[in-house]
Amino acid sequence: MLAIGLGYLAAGFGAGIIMLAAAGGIARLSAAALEGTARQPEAAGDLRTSMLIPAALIEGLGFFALVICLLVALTLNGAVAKSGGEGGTSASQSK
Amino acid sequence: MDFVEILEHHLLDHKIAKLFTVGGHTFYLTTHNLMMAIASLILFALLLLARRQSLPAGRQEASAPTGWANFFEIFIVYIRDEIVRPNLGDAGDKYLPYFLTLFFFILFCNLLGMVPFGATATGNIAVTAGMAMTTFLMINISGIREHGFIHYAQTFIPHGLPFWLVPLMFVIEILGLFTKSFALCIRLFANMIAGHIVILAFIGLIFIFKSIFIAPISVAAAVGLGLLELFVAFLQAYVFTLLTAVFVGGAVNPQH
Repeated sequence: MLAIGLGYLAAGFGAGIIMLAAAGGIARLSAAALEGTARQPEAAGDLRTSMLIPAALIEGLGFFALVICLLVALTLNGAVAKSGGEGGTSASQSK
Repeated sequence: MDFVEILEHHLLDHKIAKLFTVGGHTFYLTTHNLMMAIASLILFALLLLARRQSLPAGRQEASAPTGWANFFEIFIVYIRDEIVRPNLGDAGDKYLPYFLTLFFFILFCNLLGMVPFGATATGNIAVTAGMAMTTFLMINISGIREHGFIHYAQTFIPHGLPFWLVPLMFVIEILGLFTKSFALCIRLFANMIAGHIVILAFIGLIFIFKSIFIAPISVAAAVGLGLLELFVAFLQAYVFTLLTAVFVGGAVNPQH
Protein backbone atom coordinates (compact mmCIF):
# COMPACT_ATOMS: atom_id res chain seq x y z
CA MET A 1 0.00 0.00 0.00
CA LEU A 2 2.79 2.34 0.94
CA ALA A 3 4.67 1.35 -2.19
CA ILE A 4 1.73 2.19 -4.44
CA GLY A 5 1.23 5.51 -2.66
CA LEU A 6 4.89 6.38 -3.10
CA GLY A 7 4.58 5.45 -6.75
CA TYR A 8 1.73 7.91 -7.26
CA LEU A 9 3.70 10.54 -5.38
CA ALA A 10 6.68 9.96 -7.66
CA ALA A 11 4.56 10.34 -10.78
CA GLY A 12 3.15 13.63 -9.54
CA PHE A 13 6.50 14.99 -8.42
CA GLY A 14 8.15 13.97 -11.66
CA ALA A 15 5.61 15.88 -13.69
CA GLY A 16 6.08 18.93 -11.46
CA ILE A 17 9.85 18.94 -11.73
CA ILE A 18 9.70 18.63 -15.50
CA MET A 19 7.25 21.51 -15.59
CA LEU A 20 9.76 23.65 -13.66
CA ALA A 21 12.61 22.75 -15.98
CA ALA A 22 10.65 23.24 -19.22
CA ALA A 23 9.11 26.53 -18.10
CA GLY A 24 12.53 27.79 -17.00
CA GLY A 25 14.09 26.89 -20.33
CA ILE A 26 11.36 28.50 -22.43
CA ALA A 27 11.36 31.57 -20.17
CA ARG A 28 15.08 32.12 -20.81
CA LEU A 29 14.48 31.68 -24.54
CA SER A 30 11.71 34.24 -24.72
CA ALA A 31 13.65 36.67 -22.49
CA ALA A 32 16.56 36.52 -24.94
CA ALA A 33 14.20 36.98 -27.90
CA LEU A 34 12.49 39.98 -26.27
CA GLU A 35 15.80 41.59 -25.45
CA GLY A 36 17.00 41.09 -29.00
CA THR A 37 13.78 42.59 -30.36
CA ALA A 38 14.17 45.58 -28.04
CA ARG A 39 17.68 46.22 -29.29
CA GLN A 40 16.85 45.78 -32.95
CA PRO A 41 13.15 45.85 -33.87
CA GLU A 42 13.80 44.95 -37.52
CA ALA A 43 15.02 41.50 -36.47
CA ALA A 44 11.74 40.71 -34.70
CA GLY A 45 10.52 38.22 -37.32
CA ASP A 46 13.79 36.25 -37.45
CA LEU A 47 14.04 36.23 -33.67
CA ARG A 48 10.50 35.00 -33.34
CA THR A 49 11.15 32.10 -35.71
CA SER A 50 14.41 31.23 -33.93
CA MET A 51 12.55 31.29 -30.63
CA LEU A 52 9.65 29.11 -31.72
CA ILE A 53 11.71 26.15 -32.86
CA PRO A 54 13.65 25.57 -29.61
CA ALA A 55 10.48 26.33 -27.66
CA ALA A 56 8.66 23.55 -29.50
CA LEU A 57 11.58 21.17 -28.95
CA ILE A 58 11.73 21.91 -25.21
CA GLU A 59 7.96 21.53 -25.01
CA GLY A 60 8.38 18.17 -26.73
CA LEU A 61 10.76 17.08 -23.97
CA GLY A 62 8.25 18.22 -21.39
CA PHE A 63 5.61 16.10 -23.03
CA PHE A 64 7.94 13.09 -23.05
CA ALA A 65 8.07 13.32 -19.29
CA LEU A 66 4.31 13.86 -19.09
CA VAL A 67 3.73 10.67 -21.07
CA ILE A 68 6.12 8.76 -18.79
CA CYS A 69 4.34 10.02 -15.66
CA LEU A 70 0.96 9.14 -17.17
CA LEU A 71 2.21 5.63 -17.95
CA VAL A 72 3.43 5.26 -14.35
CA ALA A 73 0.08 6.42 -12.98
CA LEU A 74 -1.92 4.14 -15.29
CA THR A 75 0.26 1.12 -14.43
CA LEU A 76 -0.25 1.87 -10.75
CA ASN A 77 -3.99 2.04 -11.41
CA GLY A 78 -3.77 -1.47 -12.79
CA ALA A 79 -1.74 -2.63 -9.80
CA VAL A 80 -4.24 -1.13 -7.37
CA ALA A 81 -7.13 -2.81 -9.17
CA LYS A 82 -5.34 -6.14 -9.06
CA SER A 83 -4.47 -6.01 -5.35
CA GLY A 84 -7.45 -3.95 -4.34
CA GLY A 85 -8.77 -6.31 -1.65
CA GLU A 86 -5.54 -6.81 0.28
CA GLY A 87 -4.55 -3.17 0.03
CA GLY A 88 -7.79 -2.04 1.60
CA THR A 89 -7.55 -4.55 4.42
CA SER A 90 -3.99 -3.65 5.34
CA ALA A 91 -4.85 0.07 5.36
CA SER A 92 -7.74 -0.46 7.79
CA GLN A 93 -5.55 -2.71 9.98
CA SER A 94 -2.63 -0.28 10.18
CA LYS A 95 -5.00 2.50 11.27
CA MET B 1 -19.90 8.54 -15.37
CA ASP B 2 -16.68 9.18 -13.56
CA PHE B 3 -13.78 11.27 -14.82
CA VAL B 4 -11.76 8.43 -16.30
CA GLU B 5 -14.76 7.25 -18.30
CA ILE B 6 -15.37 10.74 -19.65
CA LEU B 7 -11.72 10.98 -20.69
CA GLU B 8 -11.82 7.58 -22.33
CA HIS B 9 -14.99 8.38 -24.19
CA HIS B 10 -13.62 11.59 -25.66
CA LEU B 11 -9.97 10.79 -26.24
CA LEU B 12 -9.80 7.14 -27.24
CA ASP B 13 -10.69 5.51 -30.52
CA HIS B 14 -14.09 3.82 -30.84
CA LYS B 15 -15.16 1.28 -33.41
CA ILE B 16 -18.07 2.29 -35.58
CA ALA B 17 -18.46 -0.44 -38.20
CA LYS B 18 -16.70 -3.53 -39.41
CA LEU B 19 -14.98 -3.14 -42.75
CA PHE B 20 -13.28 -6.37 -43.85
CA THR B 21 -11.15 -9.23 -42.58
CA VAL B 22 -7.76 -10.03 -44.08
CA GLY B 23 -5.89 -13.09 -42.86
CA GLY B 24 -7.43 -13.26 -39.41
CA HIS B 25 -7.11 -9.50 -38.74
CA THR B 26 -10.31 -7.45 -38.85
CA PHE B 27 -10.31 -3.82 -39.95
CA TYR B 28 -12.89 -1.52 -38.44
CA LEU B 29 -14.09 1.94 -39.27
CA THR B 30 -13.26 3.95 -36.14
CA THR B 31 -13.81 7.57 -35.14
CA HIS B 32 -10.23 8.61 -35.81
CA ASN B 33 -10.31 6.77 -39.15
CA LEU B 34 -13.45 8.67 -40.06
CA MET B 35 -11.91 11.98 -39.00
CA MET B 36 -8.85 11.40 -41.17
CA ALA B 37 -11.10 10.56 -44.11
CA ILE B 38 -13.17 13.70 -43.51
CA ALA B 39 -10.03 15.84 -43.31
CA SER B 40 -8.79 14.34 -46.58
CA LEU B 41 -12.12 14.93 -48.30
CA ILE B 42 -12.29 18.54 -47.09
CA LEU B 43 -8.75 19.12 -48.32
CA PHE B 44 -9.52 17.54 -51.71
CA ALA B 45 -12.63 19.70 -52.14
CA LEU B 46 -11.00 22.96 -51.02
CA LEU B 47 -7.83 22.44 -53.01
CA LEU B 48 -9.71 21.55 -56.21
CA LEU B 49 -11.76 24.69 -55.69
CA ALA B 50 -8.61 26.73 -55.11
CA ARG B 51 -7.07 25.32 -58.26
CA ARG B 52 -10.11 26.20 -60.29
CA GLN B 53 -10.11 29.70 -58.83
CA SER B 54 -6.47 30.26 -59.60
CA LEU B 55 -6.67 29.37 -63.29
CA PRO B 56 -9.85 30.81 -64.74
CA ALA B 57 -10.15 31.11 -68.50
CA GLY B 58 -9.98 34.75 -69.39
CA ARG B 59 -7.79 36.20 -66.65
CA GLN B 60 -4.43 37.95 -66.98
CA GLU B 61 -1.39 36.28 -65.51
CA ALA B 62 -0.29 38.81 -62.93
CA SER B 63 -3.42 39.46 -60.92
CA ALA B 64 -3.73 38.55 -57.27
CA PRO B 65 -5.38 35.25 -56.35
CA THR B 66 -8.89 35.26 -54.93
CA GLY B 67 -10.94 33.08 -52.64
CA TRP B 68 -9.58 29.76 -51.49
CA ALA B 69 -6.57 30.10 -53.77
CA ASN B 70 -5.62 33.18 -51.80
CA PHE B 71 -6.05 31.37 -48.50
CA PHE B 72 -3.93 28.40 -49.48
CA GLU B 73 -1.32 30.53 -51.20
CA ILE B 74 -0.36 32.13 -47.88
CA PHE B 75 0.54 28.77 -46.43
CA ILE B 76 2.03 27.28 -49.57
CA VAL B 77 4.33 30.22 -50.26
CA TYR B 78 5.37 30.35 -46.60
CA ILE B 79 6.23 26.65 -46.55
CA ARG B 80 8.10 26.87 -49.83
CA ASP B 81 10.11 29.98 -48.98
CA GLU B 82 10.71 29.61 -45.26
CA ILE B 83 10.74 25.86 -44.66
CA VAL B 84 11.61 23.86 -47.76
CA ARG B 85 13.99 26.07 -49.72
CA PRO B 86 16.26 27.19 -46.83
CA ASN B 87 16.68 23.62 -45.59
CA LEU B 88 16.75 21.60 -48.78
CA GLY B 89 18.39 24.05 -51.15
CA ASP B 90 17.06 24.97 -54.55
CA ALA B 91 16.63 21.31 -55.50
CA GLY B 92 14.09 21.09 -52.69
CA ASP B 93 11.15 21.85 -54.94
CA LYS B 94 10.76 18.19 -55.83
CA TYR B 95 10.09 17.42 -52.15
CA LEU B 96 7.54 20.23 -51.90
CA PRO B 97 4.41 18.07 -52.47
CA TYR B 98 5.33 15.84 -49.54
CA PHE B 99 5.81 18.73 -47.14
CA LEU B 100 2.65 20.49 -48.24
CA THR B 101 0.62 17.32 -47.84
CA LEU B 102 2.12 16.74 -44.40
CA PHE B 103 1.42 20.27 -43.23
CA PHE B 104 -2.15 20.49 -44.45
CA PHE B 105 -3.09 17.00 -43.30
CA ILE B 106 -1.81 17.59 -39.78
CA LEU B 107 -3.39 21.05 -39.67
CA PHE B 108 -6.83 19.89 -40.76
CA CYS B 109 -6.76 16.84 -38.50
CA ASN B 110 -5.84 19.06 -35.55
CA LEU B 111 -8.54 21.58 -36.38
CA LEU B 112 -11.23 18.92 -36.80
CA GLY B 113 -10.65 18.05 -33.16
CA MET B 114 -11.83 21.52 -32.17
CA VAL B 115 -15.14 21.23 -34.01
CA PRO B 116 -18.12 19.98 -31.93
CA PHE B 117 -18.62 16.22 -32.30
CA GLY B 118 -15.19 15.98 -33.88
CA ALA B 119 -12.29 13.85 -32.67
CA THR B 120 -8.60 14.62 -32.97
CA ALA B 121 -7.11 12.03 -35.26
CA THR B 122 -3.60 13.22 -34.47
CA GLY B 123 -4.39 12.61 -30.80
CA ASN B 124 -4.02 8.92 -31.50
CA ILE B 125 -0.47 7.70 -31.11
CA ALA B 126 -0.92 5.25 -33.98
CA VAL B 127 -1.61 8.11 -36.39
CA THR B 128 1.38 10.18 -35.30
CA ALA B 129 3.56 7.07 -35.27
CA GLY B 130 2.51 6.42 -38.87
CA MET B 131 3.46 9.95 -39.86
CA ALA B 132 6.77 9.67 -38.00
CA MET B 133 7.48 6.43 -39.85
CA THR B 134 6.74 8.19 -43.13
CA THR B 135 9.24 10.89 -42.14
CA PHE B 136 11.79 8.20 -41.22
CA LEU B 137 11.38 6.58 -44.64
CA MET B 138 11.56 9.99 -46.31
CA ILE B 139 14.84 10.89 -44.60
CA ASN B 140 16.51 7.63 -45.52
CA ILE B 141 15.13 7.29 -49.04
CA SER B 142 16.02 10.87 -49.96
CA GLY B 143 19.51 10.44 -48.50
CA ILE B 144 20.09 7.18 -50.33
CA ARG B 145 18.70 8.58 -53.56
CA GLU B 146 20.94 11.65 -53.43
CA HIS B 147 24.17 10.01 -52.38
CA GLY B 148 23.94 6.28 -52.96
CA PHE B 149 23.83 3.83 -50.07
CA ILE B 150 27.57 3.71 -49.25
CA HIS B 151 28.05 7.46 -49.17
CA TYR B 152 24.86 7.91 -47.20
CA ALA B 153 26.07 5.42 -44.59
CA GLN B 154 29.34 7.33 -44.47
CA THR B 155 27.53 10.51 -43.47
CA PHE B 156 26.82 8.86 -40.14
CA ILE B 157 30.50 9.00 -39.29
CA PRO B 158 31.40 12.57 -38.29
CA HIS B 159 34.73 13.96 -39.44
CA GLY B 160 37.56 15.22 -37.30
CA LEU B 161 37.30 12.71 -34.49
CA PRO B 162 39.94 10.53 -32.82
CA PHE B 163 39.67 7.05 -34.32
CA TRP B 164 38.71 5.31 -31.10
CA LEU B 165 35.64 7.54 -30.79
CA VAL B 166 34.27 6.69 -34.24
CA PRO B 167 32.36 3.46 -33.37
CA LEU B 168 30.60 5.17 -30.47
CA MET B 169 29.67 8.19 -32.58
CA PHE B 170 28.39 5.91 -35.33
CA VAL B 171 26.08 4.14 -32.90
CA ILE B 172 24.93 7.46 -31.46
CA GLU B 173 24.14 8.81 -34.92
CA ILE B 174 22.15 5.70 -35.83
CA LEU B 175 20.23 5.96 -32.55
CA GLY B 176 19.69 9.64 -33.25
CA LEU B 177 17.94 8.69 -36.48
CA PHE B 178 15.33 6.72 -34.56
CA THR B 179 15.12 9.23 -31.73
CA LYS B 180 14.31 12.09 -34.11
CA SER B 181 11.30 10.29 -35.58
CA PHE B 182 10.17 9.11 -32.16
CA ALA B 183 10.37 12.64 -30.80
CA LEU B 184 8.27 13.94 -33.72
CA CYS B 185 5.64 11.32 -32.99
CA ILE B 186 5.43 11.97 -29.25
CA ARG B 187 5.54 15.76 -29.59
CA LEU B 188 2.51 15.96 -31.87
CA PHE B 189 0.54 13.32 -29.96
CA ALA B 190 1.13 14.79 -26.52
CA ASN B 191 0.44 18.38 -27.60
CA MET B 192 -2.91 17.43 -29.10
CA ILE B 193 -3.98 15.19 -26.21
CA ALA B 194 -2.89 17.50 -23.41
CA GLY B 195 -5.12 20.36 -24.54
CA HIS B 196 -8.17 18.13 -24.66
CA ILE B 197 -7.43 16.54 -21.28
CA VAL B 198 -7.18 19.93 -19.58
CA ILE B 199 -10.43 21.19 -21.14
CA LEU B 200 -12.21 17.99 -20.11
CA ALA B 201 -10.78 18.35 -16.60
CA PHE B 202 -12.11 21.89 -16.27
CA ILE B 203 -15.58 20.94 -17.46
CA GLY B 204 -15.47 17.87 -15.24
CA LEU B 205 -14.88 20.12 -12.24
CA ILE B 206 -18.51 21.21 -12.53
CA PHE B 207 -19.62 17.62 -12.07
CA ILE B 208 -17.11 16.85 -9.36
CA PHE B 209 -18.17 19.80 -7.23
CA LYS B 210 -21.83 19.27 -8.20
CA SER B 211 -22.40 23.03 -8.08
CA ILE B 212 -23.38 25.52 -10.76
CA PHE B 213 -21.15 28.25 -9.40
CA ILE B 214 -18.02 26.60 -10.78
CA ALA B 215 -19.51 26.90 -14.25
CA PRO B 216 -18.45 30.48 -15.17
CA ILE B 217 -14.83 29.79 -14.20
CA SER B 218 -14.81 26.43 -15.94
CA VAL B 219 -16.37 27.70 -19.13
CA ALA B 220 -14.09 30.76 -19.25
CA ALA B 221 -11.06 28.54 -18.73
CA ALA B 222 -12.31 26.13 -21.40
CA VAL B 223 -12.75 28.97 -23.89
CA GLY B 224 -9.28 30.34 -23.15
CA LEU B 225 -7.74 26.90 -23.46
CA GLY B 226 -9.66 26.33 -26.69
CA LEU B 227 -8.08 29.45 -28.16
CA LEU B 228 -4.67 28.26 -27.00
CA GLU B 229 -5.39 24.91 -28.61
CA LEU B 230 -6.17 26.57 -31.94
CA PHE B 231 -2.78 28.24 -31.78
CA VAL B 232 -1.13 24.96 -30.81
CA ALA B 233 -2.83 23.21 -33.76
CA PHE B 234 -1.17 25.58 -36.23
CA LEU B 235 2.12 25.62 -34.33
CA GLN B 236 2.42 21.83 -34.12
CA ALA B 237 1.69 21.41 -37.82
CA TYR B 238 4.37 24.02 -38.54
CA VAL B 239 6.90 22.44 -36.17
CA PHE B 240 6.36 18.92 -37.53
CA THR B 241 6.84 20.13 -41.08
CA LEU B 242 9.84 22.28 -40.16
CA LEU B 243 11.64 19.52 -38.27
CA THR B 244 10.98 17.05 -41.08
CA ALA B 245 12.48 19.56 -43.52
CA VAL B 246 15.52 20.03 -41.27
CA PHE B 247 16.09 16.28 -40.99
CA VAL B 248 15.57 15.62 -44.70
CA GLY B 249 17.86 18.55 -45.44
CA GLY B 250 20.47 17.04 -43.14
CA ALA B 251 20.28 13.79 -45.10
CA VAL B 252 20.23 15.39 -48.55
CA ASN B 253 23.13 17.80 -48.05
CA PRO B 254 24.98 16.83 -44.89
CA GLN B 255 27.46 19.24 -43.38
CA HIS B 256 30.08 18.22 -40.88
